[in-house]
Amino acid sequence: MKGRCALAELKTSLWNCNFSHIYVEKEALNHEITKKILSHFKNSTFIEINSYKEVFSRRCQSFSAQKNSPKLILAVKKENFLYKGAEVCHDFGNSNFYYSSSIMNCIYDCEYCYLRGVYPSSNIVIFVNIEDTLKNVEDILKKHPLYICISYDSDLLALENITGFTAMWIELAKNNPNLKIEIRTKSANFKALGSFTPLNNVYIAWTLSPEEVITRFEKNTPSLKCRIESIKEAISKGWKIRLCFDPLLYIDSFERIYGKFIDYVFESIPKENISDVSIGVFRISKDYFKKMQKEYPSSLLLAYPFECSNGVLSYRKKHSEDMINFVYDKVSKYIEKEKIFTLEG
Amino acid sequence: MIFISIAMYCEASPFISELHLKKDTYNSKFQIFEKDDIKLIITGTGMISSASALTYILTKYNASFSDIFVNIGICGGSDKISLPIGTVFLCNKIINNDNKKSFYPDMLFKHPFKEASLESFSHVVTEKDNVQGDLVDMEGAGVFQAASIFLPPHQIMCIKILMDFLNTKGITKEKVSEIINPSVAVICNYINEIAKINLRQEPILSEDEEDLILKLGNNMKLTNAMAVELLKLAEAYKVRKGEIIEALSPFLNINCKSKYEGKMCFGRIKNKLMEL
Ligand code: SF4
Repeated sequence: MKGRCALAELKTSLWNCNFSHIYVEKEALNHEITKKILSHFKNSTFIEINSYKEVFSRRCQSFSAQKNSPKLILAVKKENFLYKGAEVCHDFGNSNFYYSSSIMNCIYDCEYCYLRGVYPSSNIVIFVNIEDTLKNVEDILKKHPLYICISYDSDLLALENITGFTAMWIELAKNNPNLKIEIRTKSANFKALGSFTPLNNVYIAWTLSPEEVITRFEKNTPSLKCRIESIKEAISKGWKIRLCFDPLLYIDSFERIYGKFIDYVFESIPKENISDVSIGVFRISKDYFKKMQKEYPSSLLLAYPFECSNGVLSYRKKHSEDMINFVYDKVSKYIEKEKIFTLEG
Repeated sequence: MIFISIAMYCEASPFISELHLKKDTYNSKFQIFEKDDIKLIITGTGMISSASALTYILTKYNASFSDIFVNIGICGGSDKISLPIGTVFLCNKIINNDNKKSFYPDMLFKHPFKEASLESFSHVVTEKDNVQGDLVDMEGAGVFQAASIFLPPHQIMCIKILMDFLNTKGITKEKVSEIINPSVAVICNYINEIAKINLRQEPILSEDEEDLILKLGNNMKLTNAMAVELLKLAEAYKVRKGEIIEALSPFLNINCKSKYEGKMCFGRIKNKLMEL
């Protein structure tokens, strides 16, 4: 305990606090969302920049060092309002699967997070002109329906109190029944959406992991208990809930830990209110993995002898299948099989 | 290693005394003062001279990602600054006035200074100049850009001491030392504290282990790509199992006569190193 205190002390005495510095693109300065965000950080130092890339894309940055004191960068998005959903991600049977990236990077710090391999920096970029993304979506909706995951390159709900982005997406979904959105989160922040009426075309998708995994591999995220409390609140208000047991991690005593965990989840949550469940093992593009491993060479999670198929690394087929099958069997004791979606590595 | 660059000797001399640095008399290109792992170079004024000097010293001492670099010097204050002469600043933005390019040190660590933006000019700045930064100097942007090639942005610092408000009349060498002197101890303390922070990831394999694996690769006549793969596998194995030598011990006396034989052996070692 003494050691822990000393570490915590070192952390507070050494590092600047999160968002101690906020970089704002000139073009974003007068945006309403910029003003709203800045109003939350009266003690931060504001630095004007020409383009977010001047800060975000500097050479030789240390993703891991920056995680100790992440900064905020407010920018204006000029293009790429929507991206085609990746094959390694679940589409839950939806066509026209896209994701949006109005925030890059996350306040959490999961050891398996692919963002570690994607971005040159762990500073958080918020594109304040969300209205342009929403407008772009509305234009496309005139042509065909859309299924959009709005919280892939970040955890939108975790930052909802300062951005209000999730609320704006929900408004859009309310006015456009041919739009389906998924809000994926590990936060325990459902209360930020408490005032909204639930919608049929909005799924709140909670990623859940055993407490042992959270403590070890999902740094800074809320405990399982807190996430479950938030889910229960959302269910009681009538929201559609998706549970994501993804990524399953290859850990010692997998069956004991995950078995106990699945039972705990379904004993805590009224299962009839779960819309669907996704199950997937850890998988990552080979290029992202290389960068992650370089930045975090001593990660036990990344030291597994992965197999590569079509540029994607994952556990050995036998392990992947065993893990998925085990969790699938456990989950199917509680949930109808048609509601369970699996994705192997 | 701590690298310090300062434009003029009169700015550097209080730091040389405080840090007990000795002149490296073998160096004729630049004046370098040193002690253990501290190297201080007098760069001369101007962005090109200072960037050249910095590149020289970082290359000469083979700067690595765990080293830190600090540029220290006097600066002028624009009309945005209303702090007294002698105030010490840590720059959070550095603008090159010539091409308007901006550079941003990573402000990860707490510090005892004020913060400001700095604009570097190729000429002595007067009240007539159109100044964007809070502070002005003639080196900051040059050294920052050069240092960024070698070091991560959280290990590059630019510390400036306010000397005047764009009026350099009456500034003598003595005056420079007099204004710098009161801040020398706090700046040196800060540098020493930052240097103690070790964010460097210790290599997974010890030097001996790495040598042994390279030798093993040679004995198997592995191609470069295969030798790199062997090192990667060995690292991952050590992370999982906590050791590597014992795992490789059955293979240490291998001496392959042909590439084909080497390939076969490599296959066996791979299997061993991929064990869970
Ligand atoms: S919550 Fe998701 S986005 Fe955030 S660090 Fe974890 S894996 Fe990455």
